[in-house]
Amino acid sequence: MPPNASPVINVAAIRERFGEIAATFGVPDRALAELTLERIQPPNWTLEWYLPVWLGGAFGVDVEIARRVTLSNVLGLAAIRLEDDLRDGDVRADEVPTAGRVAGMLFTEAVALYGPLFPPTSPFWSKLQATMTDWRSSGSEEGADTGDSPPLARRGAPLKIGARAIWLFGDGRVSWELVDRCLDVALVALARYDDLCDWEADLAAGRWNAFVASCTGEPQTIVRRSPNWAAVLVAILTRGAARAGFEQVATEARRASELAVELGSVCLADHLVRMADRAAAQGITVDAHFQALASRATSLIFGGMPVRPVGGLAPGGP
Amino acid sequence: MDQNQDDVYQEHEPYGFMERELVFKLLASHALVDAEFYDWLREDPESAAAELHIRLTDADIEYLKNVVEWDRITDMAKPIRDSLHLDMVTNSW
Repeated sequence: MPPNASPVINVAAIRERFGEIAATFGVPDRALAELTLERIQPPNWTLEWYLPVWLGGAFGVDVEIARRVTLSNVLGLAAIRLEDDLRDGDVRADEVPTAGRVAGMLFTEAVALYGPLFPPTSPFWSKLQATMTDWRSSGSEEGADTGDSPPLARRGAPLKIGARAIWLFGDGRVSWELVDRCLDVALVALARYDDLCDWEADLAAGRWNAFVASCTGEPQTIVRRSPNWAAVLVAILTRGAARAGFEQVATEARRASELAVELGSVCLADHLVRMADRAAAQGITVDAHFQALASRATSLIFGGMPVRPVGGLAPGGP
Repeated sequence: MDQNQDDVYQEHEPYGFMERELVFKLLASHALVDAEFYDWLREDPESAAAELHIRLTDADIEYLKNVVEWDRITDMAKPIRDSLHLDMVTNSW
């Protein structure tokens, strides 16, 4: 459990309940559901596991409701991982029907957990649909600003479903707009962080990547994969682009943390500050690695050349 | 040095040493990540540098053409190229 996390969450109990739900699926579907659960364990998915109890603690929500929302988050996250795999073409052709079916069943179970909490007329349901529409629009239109949330934040939009449920059961002390803004900033930071770490894989797969876009304005097509790869590396080697990217993540995570303090969630604020500190430190480590490589390469080719130009450098460019 | 001499000096040496080091770093970085550029810099350094809006001195061109041991550098650059992948750094986090 992360430091400062609320003690009310029991990961083992949620895993057990997930397993009971998966046991109601057919044999191959159950196996895939359980395999997917193994891919979404804390600490990599801390917000999905802990956000309901962190917000619930801040808003005075009953612990049992927060636990129920957490289970829904985990089921929903598993469904979304499978949908992402399908969208990215990472599923073998003969397994596509199973993956699609299991994703659908997991999502249905995730939504069903809200059934006893909200009447059919509750605005919660339309907001749930709108949130999923936001998420589905995040695949190919990364640069477009067509919704209420920043495009990058839409990748994590499903996290807002549970957050909204908790907020609706809360004491009404803070506005939803503040919760929404805090999550948007945090989700943008997370998306940028993912893109920094995954830029080569995304480039290879032809997926749009925010970090690549920050290094080159060229289209991120398969045809341009090789020149884009070189452009990103030159930006990292000569302009400190990776360090700047990590610093941007840190800045956004700290901003989200400030908003979490306004919400009254110390646990969420602490988590985001740790994320900011980690990103800033990683930026320094990565930059040092690449600066050392650039120095070695420069030394290899130009090491024997006098630093002072012999006869002076020719004026101007070509 | 009179004013005229100073003007002539500035006209013929517009870059300081720092800029010169940055130019080398830029060329070396491109050569590191782009095999075609590496070969270009080796065969025709003047036009390869011009591609990056850099004009080398005659002495620099002479150095790159006739002094640099390209075959040796090609072997030595491999481990550097192999270390270019960010996941090599991030996997340890």
